[in-house]
Amino acid sequence: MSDPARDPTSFAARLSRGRPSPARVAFQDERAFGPRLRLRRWGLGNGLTVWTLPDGAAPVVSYQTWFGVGAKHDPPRRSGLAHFFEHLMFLGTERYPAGALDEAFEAVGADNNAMTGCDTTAYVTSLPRSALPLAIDVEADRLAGLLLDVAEVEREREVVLSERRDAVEDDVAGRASELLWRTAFRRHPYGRPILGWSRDVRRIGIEDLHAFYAARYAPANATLVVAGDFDEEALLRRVQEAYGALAPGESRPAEPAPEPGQRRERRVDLPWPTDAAKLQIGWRTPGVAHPDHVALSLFVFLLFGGRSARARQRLMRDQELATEIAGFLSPFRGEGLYELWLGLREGVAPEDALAALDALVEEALGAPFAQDEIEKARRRLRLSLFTSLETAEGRAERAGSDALVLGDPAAAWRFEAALRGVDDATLRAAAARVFRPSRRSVVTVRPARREAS
Amino acid sequence: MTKRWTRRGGSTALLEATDALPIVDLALRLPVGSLADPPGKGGALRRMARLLRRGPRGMDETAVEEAIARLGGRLALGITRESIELQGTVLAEHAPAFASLVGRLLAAPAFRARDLARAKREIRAELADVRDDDPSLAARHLRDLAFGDHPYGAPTGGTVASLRRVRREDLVEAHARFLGTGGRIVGAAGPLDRAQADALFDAMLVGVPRRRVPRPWVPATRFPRGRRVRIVHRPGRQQVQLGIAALGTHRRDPERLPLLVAETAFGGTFASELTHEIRSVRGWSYYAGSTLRAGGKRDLLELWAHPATEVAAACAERELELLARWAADGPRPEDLRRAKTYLVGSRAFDEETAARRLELAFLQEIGGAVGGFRTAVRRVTRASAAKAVRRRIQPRDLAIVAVGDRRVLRPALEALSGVSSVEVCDARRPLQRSAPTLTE
Repeated sequence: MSDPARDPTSFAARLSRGRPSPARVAFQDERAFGPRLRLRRWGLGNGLTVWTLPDGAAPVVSYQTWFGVGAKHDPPRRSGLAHFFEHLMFLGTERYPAGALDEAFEAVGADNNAMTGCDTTAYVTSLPRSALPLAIDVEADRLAGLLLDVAEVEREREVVLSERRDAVEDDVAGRASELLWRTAFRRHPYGRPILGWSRDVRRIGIEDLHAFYAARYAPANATLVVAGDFDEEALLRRVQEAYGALAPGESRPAEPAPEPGQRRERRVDLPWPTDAAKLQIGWRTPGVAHPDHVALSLFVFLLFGGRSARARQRLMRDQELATEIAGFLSPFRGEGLYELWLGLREGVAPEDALAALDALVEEALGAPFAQDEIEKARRRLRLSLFTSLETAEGRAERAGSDALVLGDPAAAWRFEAALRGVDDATLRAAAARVFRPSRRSVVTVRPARREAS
Repeated sequence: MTKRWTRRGGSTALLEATDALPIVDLALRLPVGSLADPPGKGGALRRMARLLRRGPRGMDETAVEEAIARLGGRLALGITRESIELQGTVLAEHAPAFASLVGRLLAAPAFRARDLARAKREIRAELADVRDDDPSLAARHLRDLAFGDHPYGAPTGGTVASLRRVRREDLVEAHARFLGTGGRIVGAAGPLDRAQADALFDAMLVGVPRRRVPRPWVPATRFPRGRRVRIVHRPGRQQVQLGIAALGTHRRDPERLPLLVAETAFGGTFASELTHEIRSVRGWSYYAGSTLRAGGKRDLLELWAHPATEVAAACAERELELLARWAADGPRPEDLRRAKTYLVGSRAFDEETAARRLELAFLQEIGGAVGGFRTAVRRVTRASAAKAVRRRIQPRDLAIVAVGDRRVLRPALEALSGVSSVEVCDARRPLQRSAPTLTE
């Protein structure tokens, strides 16, 4: 009897015997996922990709569906469409009407959620291993027969607008971040919020939703990632039955044209009812597949990334200019930002804080990093990587994102290996290409007059 | 399976051995927290904990942080009302050096005057930052309104006024008294055997003498009669952080588990009664749900939602109706069935990794986890759940906090059923313990 680990090709042929062409499964490739685990790729005849990452360490499974569509594909004047639609995927089908889907998952102890990013959308269900068939059935069912009831859609639109108020309209960091991206990306859709502008969310009609569903939610644009304790044969047989009758649909949408290069610093003010100013700064960074990405990860850790980071020591501890420093390097396919948030102390002028930050960056670019300082960053990034891969859900999430954005679900481990190859010269050369005032945009949150209470 | 043993000197040791990843988790719990702050000096223990990582003699804060990071480690030193907690994670090959470093930090902190002064300024700035963070502001005000001058109402980090009174000698005294307190629990997870774990614990606790320290006496928590409303004024806000709290349960309450199951059915999941009604049926709030807290004394059952300002009063009224119905009748049968299977099934995730199993073992030690959890949940009946809710939850006596624009909120919330008082305070004013807020 063929076995998926020993002879995956014969195993796939056995599973395909007597099946119609869209339901046939083919073994595509296999690779290591770290020192202990193996990832295998399978393809259905209708274009559905399945990555399996078996691991019997705990009796749980994470079943994730990744679609190659994200906020960057939202049509003009319909920003927020991909995210709004992600909410609607929970509203039900004939088999699982509104509310029944949550009830079904909760009844077995599963957690199910979803996330929309700039490049992708993912549906994440983590279950006790015995409940895996439920996830397969639900996901295949809502891929084929989602109901878009008008009244339900309207209610969910209000929920999405509430989410926007939470994350952006009443939140200074959310508002500043949104303004930063709009300033940095004037043409490319990364400049539009994932949640969409409120006016656009209100404008999305039922026909937009149907068209989006038909074009983007199809096997050819979907990748399943299954990690945890499961039997590969039982899984693949169930996937064949559940998805095998679906038509391939359109494959991935076209990539938007890249944002033109930035030649000058861009600055914008955001008045806000607060007592202390804040700075949100974004430097244009290359995409996550770019060779500079690993070196940049190390550089931003050394400057901004933890309690020992230079910015924290200098701006928070020594000069007492800031109360909070947080940075984030975009993990996007295309050019993104290194986004840095500085919460300033009351009375600190943002210009002074920016000057201190500039001095810090200039100093870092101008003098070599000691080897043991680079080693420190390397170790901390390895630790972060390992802790993010502790759970089945964490492993599936990383593999899914990397499969779609980088084309390699084991890229996390390539990243770990690449950390070893970065020296001071590579690190500073990569940083010098990014950390220039001409490549950055700055949002200054300035305390605005408050209405007396 | 967690290994448990008693160490020489009396500490309890826990070990979760795994070779899944080359990392080690280390944890230490001391059974004394902010409830032991000296009178009028709220935040003293938190500041002591913060200053532990500013270094012993001969090692300043920069050197400490550099050393932690160079070992590929991270360290969190926190404080709750009832405990001081240390949690570290480190690349396995550097675990011994990391444990030694932690031992140095714990045994002989320098408590330098300049570090203390800087920590004071930092904490003041952080408290000011809370004013920009509506959810944190709402949570602080809810506890303050709910418990008044009881220690459970005090923020673990203290207030601007109480921190002003904390002196270096308070920190030295707190360190001398509490670091070596009995009832310590140490734990490790990772590629370790018992001897290796013991060596790490020895290194962490070297130089920390064992002392017998009386636990602070904490009076029972009580709620005044009536539904008391506090509006925290944020002009121009588009939505409201709406929190409703009732007095709930404590850790060793025999009815805590049936109450937890009932609360899960009420507001603990997407399909639960409260969440489904407020989010899915009404579309009022992206988040709506409940949380059941349990301390040494009865703590809060909290309901949270973030409705738009114009529907905040309707949302609050509907939540109060649901709460009253639930308190009178208990969970609906279908909700209870689902909550039970959810809690039993999802337990697999609480046990998925060694670090999580270690966390459960810690909870078990302090009485925060129910032994034989799955069986105990299966045994909860509709009658036992309803009885627990009826006996513990009093929907007539509530604290209600709304952070938002008072011009719209005040008339609307005054009209809520059963409201006994409405007060308004300015979001910019620091929380004053034992001092009245601006009452109109």
